[in-house]
Amino acid sequence: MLDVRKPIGWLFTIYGVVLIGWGMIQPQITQIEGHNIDFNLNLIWGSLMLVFGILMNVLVYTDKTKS
Amino acid sequence: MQHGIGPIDYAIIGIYFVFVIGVGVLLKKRMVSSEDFFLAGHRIPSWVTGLAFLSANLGAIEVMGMAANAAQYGIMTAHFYWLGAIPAMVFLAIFMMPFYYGSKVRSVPEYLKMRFNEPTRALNAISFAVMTVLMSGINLYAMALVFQLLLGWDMTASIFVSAAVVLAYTALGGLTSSIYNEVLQFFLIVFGLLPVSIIGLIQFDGWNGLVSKFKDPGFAHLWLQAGTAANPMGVDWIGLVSGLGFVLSFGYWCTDFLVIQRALAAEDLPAAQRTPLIAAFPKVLFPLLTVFPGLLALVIIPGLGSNSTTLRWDMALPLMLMKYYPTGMLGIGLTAMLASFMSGMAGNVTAFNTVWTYDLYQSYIAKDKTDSHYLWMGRVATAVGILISIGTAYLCMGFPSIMDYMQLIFSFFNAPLFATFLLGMFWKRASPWGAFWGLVLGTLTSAIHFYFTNIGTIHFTSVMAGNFWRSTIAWSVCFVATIAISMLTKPKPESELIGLCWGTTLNPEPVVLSWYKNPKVLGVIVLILTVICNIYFW
Repeated sequence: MLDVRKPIGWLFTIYGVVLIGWGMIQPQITQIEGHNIDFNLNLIWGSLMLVFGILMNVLVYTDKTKS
Repeated sequence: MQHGIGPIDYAIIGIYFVFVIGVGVLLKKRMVSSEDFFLAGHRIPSWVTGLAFLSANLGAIEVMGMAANAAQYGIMTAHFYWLGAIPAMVFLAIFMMPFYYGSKVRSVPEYLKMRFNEPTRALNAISFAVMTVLMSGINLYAMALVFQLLLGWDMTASIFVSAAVVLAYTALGGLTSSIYNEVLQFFLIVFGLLPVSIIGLIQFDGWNGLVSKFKDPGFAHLWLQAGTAANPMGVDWIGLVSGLGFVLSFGYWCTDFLVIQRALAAEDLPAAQRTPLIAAFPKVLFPLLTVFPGLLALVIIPGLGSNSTTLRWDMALPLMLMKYYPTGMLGIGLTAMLASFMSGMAGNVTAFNTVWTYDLYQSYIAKDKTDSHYLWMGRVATAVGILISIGTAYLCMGFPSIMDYMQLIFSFFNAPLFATFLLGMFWKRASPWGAFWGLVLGTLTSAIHFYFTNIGTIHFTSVMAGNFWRSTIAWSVCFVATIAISMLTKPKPESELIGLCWGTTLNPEPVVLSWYKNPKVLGVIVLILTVICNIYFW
């Protein structure tokens, strides 16, 4: 049986890399109205997605119970 | 800040298409019997079936409809979760799942055949098949709407492209493929929509800051104005509790084969019972992803809800994505929406092909064929179901809002059916013909009630209020009629009801489970969380 975490892991890894790459090539800064906060959403969220994707892959490859 | 869509966003959407079809192709090798195709071979772990249970329902209605409803009716929309869905999911897990899973049925109509008789099953199978294709069209329509408005795609072209992708992966991998994509989609929704809520919370310095911007303070409360019908939704607490809290949500979550099918794919009974419960935990928090962006849209997007197509209620969430997301992230957000529509549709289509193949084709048209013949039929039914959905997508275009359209369908089919199930599972005396005629009369009542609402004889302050009351009335008619006719007709002998009805079950050895695997413990925890949410947003 295909481990469902595998496609999830790979999709999020790819999306994470794409967002981080795009965030660096073309930085777009989000500013929040009435606040002195600005951030590059693609970089931040891309990193989170990448971490999640890698985590899923790690779970797949360290799972000893899989058939 | 208003963003447009760029090539990077198309690339992100494209990657998703490649992935879902890839999963279908990988799974195709495993589909050797019809059991694999329709029930995923009963070997899916419960966290997967749980998330699939949640996501099968996470279609256009949930994602676009709930945000739209929140912008229209305020946080009372969260009643769909904290009054409706969660208690019903717990009830299904604890009380009903033992009969569904324990009786080894392959579909909900099949249960009705075993518990009652052949005509009841046929009636339910036909109405369910009609309902699923009516529902799956909503997703195609919603998808086309978003892509037409945001990407400028042609409506018909985007309906056909979306239909082709769903066809590809469901016909290849059957239920397993649908379930896998539903799980994938669940994570996409969370990652794709969460930033909207986070940015919104920062912008307004939390919930109270947002509330202070509402013109009508009733928009911030679940119950405060529910004493009378003079609240944004136009329903008092009796209508809410009976229509939504009881009939509509129990009718949907406890009898709709679309969601039950996910639990039936689980590996054993405790896993099947955990399926709705595992789904219930994230479901408690889902209003943050669906209802909250709608409330933000109400404050942030001027003119929302006006007649222009770009500003209709259903556009609340897509407009928030455009508002907050830069290109790149916008692609992720759109992919999340697209994924939810596709999985919502695939869920309907896989439920449709199972009911068609097992409950109609195998039972009445072609008995005693080979297993591979039914597997083939399942694939054909998938294609036909999708073709009909394309038709119903155009039908759906004629309705003012997708949520109204859906609750209308539910009040016809699910509301009376829940009375049949309640009596069937918990009252041994409920007789086969009592169930059949009760169901017929309940559905007829809905139709008559809808007719008189439509011509204006019966009036409600909102369409939703009409749906809630219609459901309550249809349920009551079915309930009373089933009891009355059962008393006059012959019940099934008790020996034929073993494992199908409360009080007849040969209780298996109680399995000792650690607390976090015990359905009852999980059910109580999730109910406590739900009560807390109700009190906090009172």
